[in-house]
Amino acid sequence: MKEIICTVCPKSCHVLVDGNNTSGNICIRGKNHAIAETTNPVRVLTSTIKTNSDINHVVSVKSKKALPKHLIMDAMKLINQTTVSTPIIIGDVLIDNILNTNIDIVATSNVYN
Amino acid sequence: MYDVIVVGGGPAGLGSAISAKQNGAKKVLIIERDNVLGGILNQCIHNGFGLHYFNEELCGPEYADRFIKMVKENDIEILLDTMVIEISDNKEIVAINNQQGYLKLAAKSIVLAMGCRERAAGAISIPGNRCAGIMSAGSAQYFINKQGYMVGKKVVILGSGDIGLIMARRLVLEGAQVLACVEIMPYSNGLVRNVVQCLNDFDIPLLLSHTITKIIGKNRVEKIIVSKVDENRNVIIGSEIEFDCDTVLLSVGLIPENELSKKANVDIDKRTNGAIVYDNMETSVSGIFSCGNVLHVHDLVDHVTLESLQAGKYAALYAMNQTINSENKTISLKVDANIGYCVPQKVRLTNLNEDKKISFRVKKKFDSCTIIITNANNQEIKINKPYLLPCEMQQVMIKKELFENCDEILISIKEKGE
Repeated sequence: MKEIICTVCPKSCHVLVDGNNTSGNICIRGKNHAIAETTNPVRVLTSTIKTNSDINHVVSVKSKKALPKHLIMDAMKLINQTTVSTPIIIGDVLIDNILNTNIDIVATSNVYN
Repeated sequence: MYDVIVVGGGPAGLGSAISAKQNGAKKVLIIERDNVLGGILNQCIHNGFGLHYFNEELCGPEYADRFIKMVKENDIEILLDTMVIEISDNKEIVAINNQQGYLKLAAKSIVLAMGCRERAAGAISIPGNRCAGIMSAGSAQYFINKQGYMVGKKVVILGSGDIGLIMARRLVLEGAQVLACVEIMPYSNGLVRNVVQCLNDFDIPLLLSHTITKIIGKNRVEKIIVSKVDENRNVIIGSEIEFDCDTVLLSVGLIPENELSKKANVDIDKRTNGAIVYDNMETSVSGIFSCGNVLHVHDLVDHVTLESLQAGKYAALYAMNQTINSENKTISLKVDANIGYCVPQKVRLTNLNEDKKISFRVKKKFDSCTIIITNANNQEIKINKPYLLPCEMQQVMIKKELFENCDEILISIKEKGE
């Protein structure tokens, strides 16, 4: 049995999860979220990557889809080892298929110079 | 002469400028003090923006970019690196920049969209040394996300506002140790989603009913003392905890930047620290409009955008002489003791051609309860809610019929069983 604070909506139900059974949630989305949190929790990772520019030292990035939570710190290691060249446009793939997850790290801001 | 001048190029400024242009204003100008448009969204690299407005989850700079593109497509003039230093009540703007020097610009109508600044260390008088390593959470966000500088290695965050929580996660991702998030109130001021995903995910303790009682350090922060407080927020002697840290981030509230509004003689609401506005977002000074965080602090940028579209539209109509804003007949919107404020604060009888959207914020948490909107003739609208939270702004639509033949509307909250 595990207690999850639901983040689907701001009501923030405290949901008790036991396998595929939940209690404390008031909606089905809460049930699905709580079960996912106990089996395979995922998060969208947002961070910055170094650029070769003298003016804009970093560009903001995100994982295109949510990454498994346990891979977040490993993904950060790779992100911090990477340097990219400008110009960079929103949506540009800066690291493809990070940690063999089939998920790309893409730019979320424009850096022209 | 401009039709509409917008002061501020953040989300509220961008939205109102686009809306002004699309509603018929010909010459529209945005004045922004930074060297780029987008405002604070540019440093908010986390996601969660745009769920209401675009129906997708965007990061701050992505959300800003969509509006910046629309500004460019709509042929709106932009002055960057330019600081407005004065607005007179006859709608003349004085601005300065290092290309043109001193500028005097006239507008038929003005939109105030200056946003907020953070409450700083001086405002909360933390005892102890005044050493390096103490900064606001937003400054740390700018250093890390925009400039690529790390702000410290061992960090304690004072206050549990959303920016503080988001910075806790950001610092851990970049290799710092966040020792604790310290909150004087018995509950967090941030969204629960942020407490879960920014603190709990990284095992950062949230110390509720605690505050920093001393900062110790010669050149740089070396140590802080955190103490427990009682229900009256008085420090409990003997409850001190020591943290060895080199950085203290403050996330202790936002202050709408209304210095310019005051110079223009705009009436300010003491509850919001923003302007008092009519239903068309016009302030007490005819032809000056206000929207976004400078009007009242929002929790979602999507709401800022929607509000700014209204302000821009009515600023454009004013500039084209299509509205007659006679002040003689107005309806006041009042709130009961459970509600902190509402915006707009007044509705004009002459504008009663559409339903009105009213924003308000409750003062404490309510479980299942009813929002009751009553007019002077005892006509009521009731809206049942499973919960209401102070950290979540509420919006209700009030039908135009309710405003007829009355001079006051009251919004109140009734708990179930009361």
